[in-house]
Amino acid sequence: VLSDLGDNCAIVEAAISNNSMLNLIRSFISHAFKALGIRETSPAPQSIFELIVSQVGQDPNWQIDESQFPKIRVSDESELSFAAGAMDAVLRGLRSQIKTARPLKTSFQALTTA
Amino acid sequence: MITEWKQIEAKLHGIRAIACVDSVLEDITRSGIAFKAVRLFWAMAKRSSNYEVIKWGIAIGTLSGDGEEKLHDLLIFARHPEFTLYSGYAIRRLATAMPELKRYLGELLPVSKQWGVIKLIEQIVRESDLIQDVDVQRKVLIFGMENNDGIPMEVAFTIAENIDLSRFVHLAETDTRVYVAIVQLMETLITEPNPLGGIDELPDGEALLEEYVRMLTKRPSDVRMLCALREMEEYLTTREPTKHGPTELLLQVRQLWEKNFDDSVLRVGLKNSDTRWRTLNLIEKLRIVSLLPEVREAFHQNPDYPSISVLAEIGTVEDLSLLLASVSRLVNMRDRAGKEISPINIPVTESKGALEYGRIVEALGRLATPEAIAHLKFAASDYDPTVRRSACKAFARMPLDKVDPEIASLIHQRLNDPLAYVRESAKEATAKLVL
Repeated sequence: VLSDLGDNCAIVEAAISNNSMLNLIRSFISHAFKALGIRETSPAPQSIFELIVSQVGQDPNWQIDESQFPKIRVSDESELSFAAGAMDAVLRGLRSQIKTARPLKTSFQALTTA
Repeated sequence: MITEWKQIEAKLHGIRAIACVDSVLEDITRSGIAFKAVRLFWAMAKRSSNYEVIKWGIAIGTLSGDGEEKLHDLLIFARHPEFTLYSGYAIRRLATAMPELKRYLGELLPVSKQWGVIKLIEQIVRESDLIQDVDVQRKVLIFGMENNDGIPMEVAFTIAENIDLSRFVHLAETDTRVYVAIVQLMETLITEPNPLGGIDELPDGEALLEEYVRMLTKRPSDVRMLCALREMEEYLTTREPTKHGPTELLLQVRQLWEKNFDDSVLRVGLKNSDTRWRTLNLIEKLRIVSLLPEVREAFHQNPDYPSISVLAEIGTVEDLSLLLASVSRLVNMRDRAGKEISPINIPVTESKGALEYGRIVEALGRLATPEAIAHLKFAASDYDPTVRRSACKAFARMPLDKVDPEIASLIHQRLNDPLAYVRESAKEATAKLVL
């Protein structure tokens, strides 16, 4: 991304080069659509930032109501949702477990089974 | 050449920020980044609907530009627990030039929940000048415990390691809000040492336990205290049995229990919505059947998981029949019947009543009437894997003479369930029923 912008951030490029073939195909299709002059006709969906702003605007003490937001996907193949923020915690937890060999997080199990 | 944020979004799709954002930021610190790139990343953060892409946007989009304007938006992003970690990190980075911004991290505590408050506290404790402030410590303790939404084990040790716990244990003698938070914190350190650490990992754990018990002696009796004493008793009994009998602290805990335990304390606890689940939990653990009439009343008022669990565990046959009859109040059976077996867990937001229903299903093995068995057979093929597991658990509790070939066949089917924990329950049922 940044090299396209004229910058030099090798690590971002490396991360992007690890991306799946699916994303390359998706990108290709997107470019092809643009080249053919095809544009999305449906209105742009509301961004997550706008959703948060509107919820906080209605109630300054608002605490997240997950049903108002897009589902958090574990992967493209699964619709499984997690409590907001849990995915990062679990992934980070799993990374540290590799180092410390701690038992699996009980809360992760609770989240996936409850 | 990239000129629009959507192009970056497309290229970043599917790349999880948490996996490599630290390395990317480290590299950018060395090699630098153009202002226009930062601007596009920030635009992407504010306009995308993709969680992972937004995280990249927050991380890279705040590397330069108008700090105060971005702070305002970061405080909004931080309200969603998916972004609290990234926003907190970005605010701390902005605060290297404007240290006064750090206070905003503390101000987010009352409005952050579950993983949000946990990630926020992890950021706050890394700012030594911030966490040294007693008011910040108080907020960290209170909101860390009040807002963790059922996962205190993910934050209790972080709090215990970073605040002057002894001071707050002392304060809990007279400050009830601090008392409530301290009891939950200590309870977690004692009973849930994973994944972060528990009382044994704290350098002054032993002294802390003594201070904690001393504080409890100065409080009026309530359900929280009874729970705390019971947990302490279990912990001290199993920790290290000594040749010379129970330690002085253990004897003190037992004396305190004798002095404070009374059915009337539990009755008061049942009437308070904050302590209701604790009370029910204690009644179930101690199998206090004398309080079953009050539990039934609590169940009729609100058929929630803890009241169902008590009746399921220590209730009479009439109670179990009552639970079976209440299923239609909790879930829509006709709706369930039309759904195919799900190979994945059902999102919490889409499984209202399933936890309670599963607990009832589990109890039906103890009831084992023809009606209960018929329901169990139905539940064994429920679309929700947690209910299928409950059915297997119920089968395992059934008297052997009630197990017919259809039940055996259903258990065998569950041995091939898509979910491992259902297969495991089916395996246990097979072993117990010798199928």
